[in-house]
Amino acid sequence: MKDFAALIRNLLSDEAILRDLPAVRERFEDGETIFERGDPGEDLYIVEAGQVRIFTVDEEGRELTLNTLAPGEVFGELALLDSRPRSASAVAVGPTVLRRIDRGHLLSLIRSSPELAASLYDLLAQRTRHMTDYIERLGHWARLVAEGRYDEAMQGLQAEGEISDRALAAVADAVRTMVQAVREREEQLRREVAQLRIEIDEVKRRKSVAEITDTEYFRDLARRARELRKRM
Amino acid sequence: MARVVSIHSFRGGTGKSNITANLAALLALRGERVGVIDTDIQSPGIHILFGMDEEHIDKTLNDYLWGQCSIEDTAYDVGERLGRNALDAVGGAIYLIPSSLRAGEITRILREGYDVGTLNEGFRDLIRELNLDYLLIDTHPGLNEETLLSIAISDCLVIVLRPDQQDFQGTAVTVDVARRLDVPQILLVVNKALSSYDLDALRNQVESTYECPVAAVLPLSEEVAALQSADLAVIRLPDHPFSKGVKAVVQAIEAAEQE
Ligand SMILES: Nc1ncnc2c1ncn2[C@@H]1O[C@H](COP(=O)(O)OP(=O)(O)OP(=O)(O)O)[C@@H](O)[C@H]1O
Ligand SMILES: [Mg+2]
Repeated sequence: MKDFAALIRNLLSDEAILRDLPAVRERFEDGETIFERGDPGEDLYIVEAGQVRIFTVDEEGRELTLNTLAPGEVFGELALLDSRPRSASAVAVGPTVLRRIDRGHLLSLIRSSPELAASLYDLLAQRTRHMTDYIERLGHWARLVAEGRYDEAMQGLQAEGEISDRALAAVADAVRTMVQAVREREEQLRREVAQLRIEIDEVKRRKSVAEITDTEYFRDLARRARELRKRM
Repeated sequence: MARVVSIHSFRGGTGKSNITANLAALLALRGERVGVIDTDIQSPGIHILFGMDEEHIDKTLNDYLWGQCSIEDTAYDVGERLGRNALDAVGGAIYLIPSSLRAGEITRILREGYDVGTLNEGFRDLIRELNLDYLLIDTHPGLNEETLLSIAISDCLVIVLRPDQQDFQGTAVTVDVARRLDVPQILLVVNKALSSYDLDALRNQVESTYECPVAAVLPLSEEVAALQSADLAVIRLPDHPFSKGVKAVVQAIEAAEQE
């Protein structure tokens, strides 16, 4: 089966269809926002040139990159189904050109083309499997970290960055940063605990001192110490 | 009046000799006339820090203790190490009184012992004959009679410790003993602290444990170790944290003198 993006691209190159389908071409500067999480989700996008980074922002304002899309790829497809607000934000990486396709128009197209409908299901199934995989691995890494198996976690994350898709690589990178931070904090704590352990055995201390001071030599020395210093 | 400063640690290898030599160098470069005496008769070593080799050592502290010479015959001018011009410019001087390195002489003095009173007179004569401002005593670890004498006559006792449990315990004993001898100033120097430690927290912890000021926390340093106790960090590595720490010790010693 042809993938959804390819089918959409074909449609867009078909003059007859294009007449009925207002696919607006939009240009974005590097770093310019395409949409933000929570914005109304009305359209689907195809990347024509440049790159698009999809990310979420955590409670403390830190960004977590979920995916980076190259020319030929489609995003915003969830909006096709439910037109709910955007679940993530999108920003242009480098000068970027997008084709924006209106939801209503695309839906009517899908209704009239079983091939397009099937490939849309396929795309959505892929994204769902991807999310399941994503969550499974997050769970696995979290367990390694919880058990203090940092080296294993780091090795797995490293391998992840090399082999898997961009979204997983991005989250692997974020988790790697987290593991590093957790590990450093733990080591810092261990050092503090170690250095705070000045333990003096007071019984032994008194005994050692007495062995030295309970001698004729020491008593004599202590008596004369001040005088000896003065005569130096 | 000269000030006597003993540098001691309960256990060996804490860095006493390195700290003593570097302290002496800084004091001399500040225009003081400084004598350094190696009373670690069992395992002498401070001469190497001043670039003295065995062949150039004739009379030693051992000869003086056996009554074979006067103490000033055992004093060697080691100002070359610090740069003659730098010393002359400020009117500083630095003398080393080494112990014998000859195995036979070390065994003999350990076997026969010596008169602690003679050592005391030696300190006094040295100060007088060389017109010293400071006498620094590098001691043998532990608290034998000679070391107790050195502590007793000191205006300032610098106790060197590493951040480890045995040193913590031993230092507690030394601090108590020095207090019984009414030593006017006791300073702690923590040496060989791992750079990963929180040095301020370590300092506070040590100060509150012994109720005694910590003059410096010196890091364990590869660069210092690489000098192999054959050169002075304050000259070779003047901006190194070790050298800066030694400078802080000098300041603490001088501050007490002004009181
Ligand atoms: N801060 C430091 N960092 C690294 N190495 C150090 C440091 N201080 C001292 N050392 C090294 O530790 C060793 C012992 O130092 P030193 O001889 O000064 O100690 P000591 O207390 O005089 O020993 P001893 O009890 O044998 O006379 C030397 O090899 C020296 O180079
Ligand atoms: Mg020594």
